[in-house]
Amino acid sequence: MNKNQFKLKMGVYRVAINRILRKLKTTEIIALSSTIIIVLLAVTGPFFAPYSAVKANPSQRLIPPNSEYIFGTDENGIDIFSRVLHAPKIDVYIAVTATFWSVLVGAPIGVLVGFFEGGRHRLKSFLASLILRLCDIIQSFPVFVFALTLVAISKPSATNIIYAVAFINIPVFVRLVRGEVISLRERPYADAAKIIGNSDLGICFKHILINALSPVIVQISVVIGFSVLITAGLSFVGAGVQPPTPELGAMISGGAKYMILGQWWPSFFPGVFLCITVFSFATTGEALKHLLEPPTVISEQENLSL
Amino acid sequence: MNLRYLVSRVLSLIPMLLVILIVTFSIIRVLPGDPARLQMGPLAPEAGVQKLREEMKLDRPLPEQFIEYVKHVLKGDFGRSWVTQNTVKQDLKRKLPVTLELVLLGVFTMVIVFIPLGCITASKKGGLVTRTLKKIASIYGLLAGSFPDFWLGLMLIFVFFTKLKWLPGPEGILGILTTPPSHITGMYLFDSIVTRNFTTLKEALLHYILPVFTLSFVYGAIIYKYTWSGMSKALRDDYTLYAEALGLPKWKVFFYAFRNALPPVVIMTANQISYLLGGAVLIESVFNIDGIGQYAVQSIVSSDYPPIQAFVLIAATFTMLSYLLGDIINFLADPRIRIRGRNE
Repeated sequence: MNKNQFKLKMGVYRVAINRILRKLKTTEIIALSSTIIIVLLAVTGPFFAPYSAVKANPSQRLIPPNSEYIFGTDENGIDIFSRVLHAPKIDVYIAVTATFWSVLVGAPIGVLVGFFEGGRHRLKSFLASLILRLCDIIQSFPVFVFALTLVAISKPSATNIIYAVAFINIPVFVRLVRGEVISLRERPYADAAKIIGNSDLGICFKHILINALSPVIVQISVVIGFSVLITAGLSFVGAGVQPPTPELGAMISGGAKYMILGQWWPSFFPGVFLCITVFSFATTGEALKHLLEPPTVISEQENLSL
Repeated sequence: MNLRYLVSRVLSLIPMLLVILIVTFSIIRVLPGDPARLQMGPLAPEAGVQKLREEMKLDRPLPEQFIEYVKHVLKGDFGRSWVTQNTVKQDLKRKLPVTLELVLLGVFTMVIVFIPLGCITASKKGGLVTRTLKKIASIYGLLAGSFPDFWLGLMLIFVFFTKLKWLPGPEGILGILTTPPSHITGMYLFDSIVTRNFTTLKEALLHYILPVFTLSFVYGAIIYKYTWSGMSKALRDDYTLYAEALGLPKWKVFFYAFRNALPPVVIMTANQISYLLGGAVLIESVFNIDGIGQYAVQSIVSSDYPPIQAFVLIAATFTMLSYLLGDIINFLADPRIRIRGRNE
């Protein structure tokens, strides 16, 4: 590759990146980059941690932030900065896995519900509306209370939190995908797919599901942020990840009793990190929405052709 | 008036209630182990557990057990908590009003602060004050949803109690030295107003400031956003232009726009009430408020099942009722729903 070709190639990339950046607000760019950093931390965080995140060191209890321990130490003498670096491995892992499961279960159900709802096939149509009512009922429980109960009747552990959070988010994806599919199933390509001999299920999963995915991708990010918040809340009240595992909610809870004594750092730093995490994922959802929106020129053309 | 819509809306509560009862009934039965033993706790004597087994009709088929359970619930009998050694009914009588008061104060604050804020910041023009307010509000709308409520509560305690000493610390609704008002409804503010116990009233108000602020700050963000976007749209719509062109007074134009922007805000507020109850669970733990949220958490941590069942039942019913209230307000406020019977 000669110099000019290389320059040309870089120019193309730069234009592409500029085009992406121009579509986003400053806050969205910040959120997008911090989400990437947090996800990277979930994998590499422990390598950066200067101290152990679980080994107690009673002689170093509750040291305020200083040059050695930049976030201070907690009531067991563990470096808070190290614990915060370890936390995404737990919190983000739980939230991502839970969201993954709710999409994996919710999206296919949503496609089927949307496709068969109000259709000619009586039984399938009935089942579809039954599932929708079921979603109504699940959603009529306050989310946090529901998650709390689910974790309580199993035992508090990371796996059970994943199941509980996944379960409460399934209706979100069922509804979202269903809403998309109801309009997609009327599109000409769905008819075309039928005419060339696809079965109903084939149309659903080969043709419609793919096209219904873009709002799902946006929602995934929002739900991950929300799930981090729920996970931390559950652990905060003692119905989630148990100490000494470095989990943000449990860390805040551990520092809570020192707060009134004026030792603010054990709760403060994990909380700030929790805020950043939730904000980043939620706003990344917004950013993705803007990126995935088709450019206005195309949608105008579409309007003309229809 | 389309009363049929209203009646069918109220009747639709019945199947939902039934399902909720099935859920709370199942909680104790899906767990491994003997339901009666789970209900009485590990410390209960075998004879008592045996008696409860007969009472719950555990030797009969599930539908019969369910009917028995529903009968008990209708009588207000939720069983006995083995941790507090009271019947759940006694505990609820003391704790439920406190939570209710907390949630109601939260909703009240959200409505009187964030709906006007949304209206003001949505207006087209405005002086320096409005513009500054717009800036602050947009930052608030962006960030507030991602604040963990329990953490915010702790930070407020640190600032206003530990450092500034302006407000009381996390010691519940009344300090240890304050005598509680005589029990009428169980709500501290209400009871102290009725009994004219103004020292207690002041004390309770001071204790409520931080928890209520935390709740409404975190959960009001979405109400603000809905009001703002609804009003922004309504104030730029053609009918507003028309009303302005007719020379109607400003407040009237504003009122017409507000009325059109209101329905989604009402639905969202009803929605947030149910979130507030979830938030109250955490906030009560942070501020040591002796309400049903803290009760539920303690029961969950100690596997005390009767209070958990009661709490889930109450929470779900409360959510349903708040949605109903939202629908009724919209029904009364929005003539389109009165005619069509549905809000599409």
